[in-house]
Amino acid sequence: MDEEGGGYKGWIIFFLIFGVGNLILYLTTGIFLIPIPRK
Amino acid sequence: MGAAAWRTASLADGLLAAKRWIPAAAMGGTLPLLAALPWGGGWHQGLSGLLLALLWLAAIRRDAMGIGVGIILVGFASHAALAIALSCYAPALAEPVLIDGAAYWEAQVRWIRSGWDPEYELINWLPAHVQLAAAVALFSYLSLGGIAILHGFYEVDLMNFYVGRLLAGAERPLPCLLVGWHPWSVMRGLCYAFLVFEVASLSLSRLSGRVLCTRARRVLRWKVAALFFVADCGLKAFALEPVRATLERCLG
Repeated sequence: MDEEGGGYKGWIIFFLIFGVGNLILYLTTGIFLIPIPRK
Repeated sequence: MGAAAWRTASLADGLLAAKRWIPAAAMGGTLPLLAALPWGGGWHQGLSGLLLALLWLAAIRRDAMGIGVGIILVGFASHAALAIALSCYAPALAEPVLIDGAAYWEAQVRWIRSGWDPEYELINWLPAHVQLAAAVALFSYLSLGGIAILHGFYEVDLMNFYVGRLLAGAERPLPCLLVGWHPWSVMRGLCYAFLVFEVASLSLSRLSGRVLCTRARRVLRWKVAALFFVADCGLKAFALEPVRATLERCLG
């Protein structure tokens, strides 16, 4: 049970960072790091 | 989180066997675009990016560089063929789904006719190329390649709409098709295929705590990416005018 809970926690963190986090990063065109040049 | 990343990378593993990744990549590159036609919008680029990224991660997990680059080539080429055909024969359908394509097409026609575009001045494009390469490398590390693939679909759709409109008005379609997709842009695509594969592999390796490949293979990928980057810049610096002149003759 604990392992399953830890697994879910891992998925949620992964989704938040790699899904939501990167979507925000892309939508802001990376202005806080290196701006992504757009034509 | 490392375990979740590793399991995500294995989701499409079954599609790598028996060349099933070829139709899978072709479907990932085309079906979202077809589905977007009745609705409009650029969301299909994100969906195609997600589908290709899942296949791509499975290849990275196995360190199958040939399959990884093949997935990108098949996915993007099938997407480009469909998008160019739509832009050529059904521009009213294509324009709402190929975001910013119409503005890019107008800018390219001005460049072909006049021979001048600030974007094609070396002092402008060289820093932009370096900045884009740095951004692609950094964001590929942060997103396991996802942002690079998504942004790649946005960039190629600018070109796809432009090439489709070129073909529609061309007196000689074949040379138009051959140089309309600028040779330096093709080099850039190949550069990023190797760069993003390598950086995403580094990221997955660090996240999962597993050794995915040898140092020699990593060095080779950096060298191949650097070679294509130099080819991109070299072609853009020296073949710009011959390509423009060919396109001008194509337009008549």
